[in-house]
Amino acid sequence: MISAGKDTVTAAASGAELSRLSSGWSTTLQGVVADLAVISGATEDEFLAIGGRLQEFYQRGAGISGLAQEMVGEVAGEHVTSAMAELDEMLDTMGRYVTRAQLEIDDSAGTLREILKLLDQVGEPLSGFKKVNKVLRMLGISTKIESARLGQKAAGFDTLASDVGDLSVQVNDKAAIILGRKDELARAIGHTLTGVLDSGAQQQSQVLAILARTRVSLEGLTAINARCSSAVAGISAVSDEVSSNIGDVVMSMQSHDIVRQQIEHVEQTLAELDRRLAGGQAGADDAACICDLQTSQLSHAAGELDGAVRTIIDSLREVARKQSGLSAQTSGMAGIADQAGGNFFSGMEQDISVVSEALLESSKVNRSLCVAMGSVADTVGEIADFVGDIEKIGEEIKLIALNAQIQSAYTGEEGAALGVLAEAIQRLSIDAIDHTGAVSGTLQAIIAVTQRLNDGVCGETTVLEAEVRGMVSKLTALLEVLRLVNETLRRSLSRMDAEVAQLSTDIERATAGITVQHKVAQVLERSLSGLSGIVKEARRIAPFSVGRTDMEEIAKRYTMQSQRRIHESHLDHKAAAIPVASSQDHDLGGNVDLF
Amino acid sequence: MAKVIMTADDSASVRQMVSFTLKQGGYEVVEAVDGKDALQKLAVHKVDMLITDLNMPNLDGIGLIKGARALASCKFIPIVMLTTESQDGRKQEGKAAGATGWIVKPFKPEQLMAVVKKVLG
Repeated sequence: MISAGKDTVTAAASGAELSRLSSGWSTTLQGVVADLAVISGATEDEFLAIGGRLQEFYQRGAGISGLAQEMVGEVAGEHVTSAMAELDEMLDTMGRYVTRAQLEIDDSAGTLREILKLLDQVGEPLSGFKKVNKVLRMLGISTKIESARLGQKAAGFDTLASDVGDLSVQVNDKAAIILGRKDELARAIGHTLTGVLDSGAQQQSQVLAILARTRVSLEGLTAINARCSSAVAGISAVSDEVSSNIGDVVMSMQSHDIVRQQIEHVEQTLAELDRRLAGGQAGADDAACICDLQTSQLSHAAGELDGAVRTIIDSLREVARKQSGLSAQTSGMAGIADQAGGNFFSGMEQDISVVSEALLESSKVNRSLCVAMGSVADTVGEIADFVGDIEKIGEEIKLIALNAQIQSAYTGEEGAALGVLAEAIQRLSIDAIDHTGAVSGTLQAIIAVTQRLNDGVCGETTVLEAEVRGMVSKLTALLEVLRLVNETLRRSLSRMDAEVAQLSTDIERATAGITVQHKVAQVLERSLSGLSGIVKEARRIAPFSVGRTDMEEIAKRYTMQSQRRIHESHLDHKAAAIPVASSQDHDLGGNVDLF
Repeated sequence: MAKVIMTADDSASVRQMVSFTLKQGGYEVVEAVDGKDALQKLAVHKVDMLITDLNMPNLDGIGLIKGARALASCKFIPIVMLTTESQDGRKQEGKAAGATGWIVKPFKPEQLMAVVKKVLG
């Protein structure tokens, strides 16, 4: 009895305590329900605003990826690749041309040296003419003296001596002219030779240096081109990663709906508890069990929302970061191409004019060689005419000498000396003729060599000029193709930089404006604190759960696996007890069933 | 011509994400805020597929599927439930009503696109 009496007193005290606390709990529960109703309906606008920007960010990101793809594609594109291949081929052609031109210059220089040597050989027979002239003049004087001594008997010899003297002067004059012409010619050839050699040396070293430099630049461009080609895959990978980040945002955005449902279910459960407490259908144990469970549900919801918002912010920032990385990567690729291209093009612009000049200079050298060879032929022709004149004089002297010999025979014993003189004159005339023969032979050799050079050089001049002009024109066209690519790259790079900077700024601004999680956290903290107070007070009255609370009724509201898992876990069952989604015979994911 | 897909969900943010995903995939999207709104729109719009939530005010997803299947234009179109509900019993209910498939929220964009491509052939 005493014991029963005690129990009755305790129960009565508990009932009074419950009644007193219930009104406070009701106030708390209604406050929590009201707060939850507000947050479950008021957060959607902020999520919708984020969703609206997401679409815009995705499109802008896709635009930047497309631009990056376009730029890298531009550098690695077919027209650039083929322009570079053609340029490479052109450098080979120019290199071959320069080598060939140098061989021709060496050949021409050798021929000019040969002509100089031949001209030098003309000197000896020419000095022979001087000697012939000197002796003839002495013989003429001797003839005059002998003729004067013989008087009337050698009347014709005086005239003969005068004729021989005149002719010897002519030989001397013509030989002097030939010598002068030969020296002039040698000087002109020497000058041409120096020009040819200087030009050749300058042309070859200059052009070869430029070609080598251009080849290095081209190799640099080729390497960039190859890197850009491989970067296409990298850009696609970055685009995939960005798509994956956007996918994460899309998933997290749905958490709003999921959390909203979870909060709504808590709200409904707590409102129901309030009603049941007010109607006396629920006690302290019910209040403790339900509030405790709803605390878990709300904590989970708060965590989910916080995680989702964090994922949204992080993923959007990641999108900005990846786009910046993509921009830097593309700038690194295309930018190097642009920079190297810029250097390449400005350098090539200068080089191409130098190469054109140098190559056209070789045509000019050929032209001046042609002129020089024409001049050699003309001068040699003139010299040959003079040599012919000397030869005729020689023949004339020979005839005079023959007549003198005949006349001296008529003069008899007294004219013997004149006969000797006439014979000497005749021998000299033969010497003069021989000298002319030697000079003529050398001149013939000069003409042959000149002709050979003339045929080789002058015949090709027009063809070579056309070839050089063709190469320069092709080179200019190729550079134009590459220059256009460079210009496109420069413009695209600047556009992409601006777009990425703007996207990053906008994403940063948009993510900084996401505050929904803080507002929800504040409300939930208040709610959780209220619920925790109820649990604490209820457990003072009912320290142990007697398991009478109808938790199954609460479970009926659940639509999500996570809610059921929390519920089961709260009832001290393991989550593994909850059936998982049925196994699928497709690879669409565990949350997909196709019937 | 782009295929038309209707998305019915009382959550504007979910409709926004479904719409965003489908539009990126090149589909045209018609949005409905609940089952009743969806049925009204199905009467005037010819759609190639329907993606619907389960729990909606006015008319829920099961009711919508039944109503849609009664329409001649929707008799054979794929209808996929997109819901937080994952219980087998509910899935069977959906299947019995005429659903083609069931996706538990949250979905990944590529996953939704894969399902759409699969059911639209």
